[in-house]
Amino acid sequence: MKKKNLDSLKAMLLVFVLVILTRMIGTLPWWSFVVPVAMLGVVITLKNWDVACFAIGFIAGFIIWLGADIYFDRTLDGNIFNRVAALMSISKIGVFLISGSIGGVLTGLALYTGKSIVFNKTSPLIY
Amino acid sequence: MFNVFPLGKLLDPFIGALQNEADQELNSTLSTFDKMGLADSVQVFFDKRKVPHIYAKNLDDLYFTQGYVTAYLRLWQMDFLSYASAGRLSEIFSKGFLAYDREQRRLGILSAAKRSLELIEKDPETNRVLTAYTKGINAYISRLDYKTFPFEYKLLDYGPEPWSNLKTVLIMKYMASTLSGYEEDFSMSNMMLALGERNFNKYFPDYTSHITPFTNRPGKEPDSPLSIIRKPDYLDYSFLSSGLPVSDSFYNPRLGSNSWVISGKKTKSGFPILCNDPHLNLSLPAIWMEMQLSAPGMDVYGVSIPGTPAIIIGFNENIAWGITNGADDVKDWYKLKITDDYKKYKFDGKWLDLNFAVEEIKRKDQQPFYDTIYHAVQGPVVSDRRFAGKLPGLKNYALRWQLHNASNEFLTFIRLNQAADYGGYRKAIRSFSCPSLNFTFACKEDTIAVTHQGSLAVKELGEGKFLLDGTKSSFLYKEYIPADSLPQVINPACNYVLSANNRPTNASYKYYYNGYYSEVRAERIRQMLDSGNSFDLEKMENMQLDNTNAFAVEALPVLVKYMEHKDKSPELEIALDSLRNWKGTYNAGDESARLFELWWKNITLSTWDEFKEFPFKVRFPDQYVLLDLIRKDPDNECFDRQGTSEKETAGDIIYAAFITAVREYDKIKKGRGVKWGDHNKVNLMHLTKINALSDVDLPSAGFPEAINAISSDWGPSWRMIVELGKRPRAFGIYAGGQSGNIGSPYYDNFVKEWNKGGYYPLEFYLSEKEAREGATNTWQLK
Repeated sequence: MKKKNLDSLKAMLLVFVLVILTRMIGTLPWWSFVVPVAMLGVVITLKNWDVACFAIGFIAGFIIWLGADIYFDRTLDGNIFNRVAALMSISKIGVFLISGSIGGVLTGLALYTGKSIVFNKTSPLIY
Repeated sequence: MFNVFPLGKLLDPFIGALQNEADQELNSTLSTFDKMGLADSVQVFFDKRKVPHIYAKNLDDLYFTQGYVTAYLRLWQMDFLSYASAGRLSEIFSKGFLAYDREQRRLGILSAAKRSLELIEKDPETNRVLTAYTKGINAYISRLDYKTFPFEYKLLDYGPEPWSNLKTVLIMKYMASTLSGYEEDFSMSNMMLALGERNFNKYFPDYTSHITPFTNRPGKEPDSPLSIIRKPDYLDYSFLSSGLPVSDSFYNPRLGSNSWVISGKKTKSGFPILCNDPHLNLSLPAIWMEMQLSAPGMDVYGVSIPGTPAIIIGFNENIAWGITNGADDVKDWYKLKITDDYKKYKFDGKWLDLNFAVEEIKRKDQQPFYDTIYHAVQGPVVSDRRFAGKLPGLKNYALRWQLHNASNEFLTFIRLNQAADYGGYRKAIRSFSCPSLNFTFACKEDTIAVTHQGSLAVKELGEGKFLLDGTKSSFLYKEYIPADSLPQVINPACNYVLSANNRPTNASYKYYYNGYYSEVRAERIRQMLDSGNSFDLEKMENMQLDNTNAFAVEALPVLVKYMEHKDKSPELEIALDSLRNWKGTYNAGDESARLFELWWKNITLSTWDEFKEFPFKVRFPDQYVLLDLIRKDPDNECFDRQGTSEKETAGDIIYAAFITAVREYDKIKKGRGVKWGDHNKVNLMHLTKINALSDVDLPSAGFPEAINAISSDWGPSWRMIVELGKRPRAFGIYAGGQSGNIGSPYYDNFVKEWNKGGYYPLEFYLSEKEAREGATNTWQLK
């Protein structure tokens, strides 16, 4: 497997773990997962992993949000997203996609921000 | 109402809206709640409709648990209503509600609630109940975090504040204001001046021959001296000249109710039957919540209002009771003479200091707003130089409203819940002050009764019907009708009592009182109860769902007779034939109801066309007044149309109105249809008025003047039928569901059945064992 693919896979798995673990701590604010994800971004830079951070973060966040949306929607017996969809004048799938995108953008930005706020002397400078 | 909601949090699957689908504690078989601070353990058994049956070993624990369960099911609703009542909506919404809040404060509802709370805290019996109830709500609130907040908090981006006894009182005041807020002093004052005494009394009589009083029957002739109103000396155009219009009252005068009780002498079972259907605004979550409260010395079933303790309408093993709005005028406006600098006002020839209080209205994302509210001896000045609100024409008038007085309505319900006989009922309702209500009553031993209960001032003839002169103390009421002299009846010879917001007495009653009574439903109930002798629960259901407009039944032959000798095209003949065959019913499939409505509307508008010239908001005379004029005085000047050279009579008006009505009717027929259900659409609006959270456009049978008094946004909010006996048998339904959670299947699961006229058997368990056996899930509180 190419290094880039391997690094991306590692990063994505770590994002999954970090986000889910952070979300399990109920006392933290809802957005707190961005902090460990950003820290992961720092690690990615320091470890010199070859990762397209925003894209990987976005995909991971999108999958987590969308997956959780579908899981809770199916396992709980209400129809709240139908009401929310009507409230937003869009379809229920639209609500899922917006929710997934919110998770994706926040996670992607967090990972990218973490990656960008540090500078790794060992990484090649490309201008 | 709001433009942006917190999308990130709301759509977060871990804590956002989706988590509101988790009705775990309503679905899991057994839930235990520890460390609640209860004296003993409490069991809550939810039946299959999720009606909680609460079994406690003492009253404190019982009311604590009622608060806890109510908060679990309806926290946001009751919290929101307390904000709305207090005039605090600007704390929730960043814009658009400051004027509402100012109006609400100026109407004096928050200060009235504070005064009432002071009184209540001095009564150990009530204070104990309210305090336990508040503790229960707060025990639930303390469990919550963002994830478990009710959905609306997430949507509007705020959280629940701790509950307090004041919030409970605010909800009771909210109900009182809804039921007693309507008045028409300004338009009646104008009408008296415009019409003169003779015509005013003719068109706006206090008493007509169409009343169905529950006392002093049969009715006396309506020309008793008590019914002739004189124009007050001070009332002239210079008195009224504010130059500003007065809009329609923002209170609904037609919120009413039906209730009747049939003695066992007229029922199949030999036991009394009580029926009640209060007509309130239809909303989601519904204003009512069913429950059974059981503790030593008390075992009661019925509906409560979320945010207030005890059962408001219900029954126990021995008694059943219902309520209808008394519909009395308990709200008056006094014109003040105030100095330009708002420092003094004239009273009995002296200039008194005009008091004021500064109200702080907190606002979301903004600095608080401070509103100066002036107070005269009569009450608050709602509209002044700085604030016109919805009542600009009443600038510098002081409001005197029975609601302002400190009162303890809770004690009535606390005692009614435990009452076992007529004596207990009478003792319970004595303390009820505002709004005035008719309390119907039945007990197992076959005593039936109704009492028109409330603080009703002793008034001079006509007093309170018009705007009052605020410069004189003689216009301040000083006495109230003694409780024992209030209209009431027990075990009448007809073997039934009824109340449907009708006048409780005829003109021979020794006190003058006025209000906004409605006689049509009462008349229909009377007809139906007079017509039979062997009533059972099924007949009661049919009666509550009766869609007949007694007025239409009476008016139609009169109108049709006027059409007999007129020229009619084939279309008119067909239309008239359809009305001849119509029985005055407003069933969903009825096609003639709409035609009659159009005809009568056109007759009304044509008859009172001279009122259009009046430079103020007019009110048309009652429909029975117009019908009597058509019958007895068809040449009356009111039938002469404005702007024509001929002198029209009632016959001309009726004929022309019919032609116009048929034309309008045909147009509607080609459009959306003329079936009554096509026109009569019910909307159960969420309290935020967001359509997505509401159930809207439900085609429905019923009509405001029929017993099944359904309108677009108000109607029979709770239908209850109780037959007492060895074991009470009861049926009921309300428009909504037990849960206030929009994601719950129990949010609106009663609505479909309610709209098609269904009922649920009310599971009143006589023992904890029965309740356990009937439960689908159980809570244990310790």
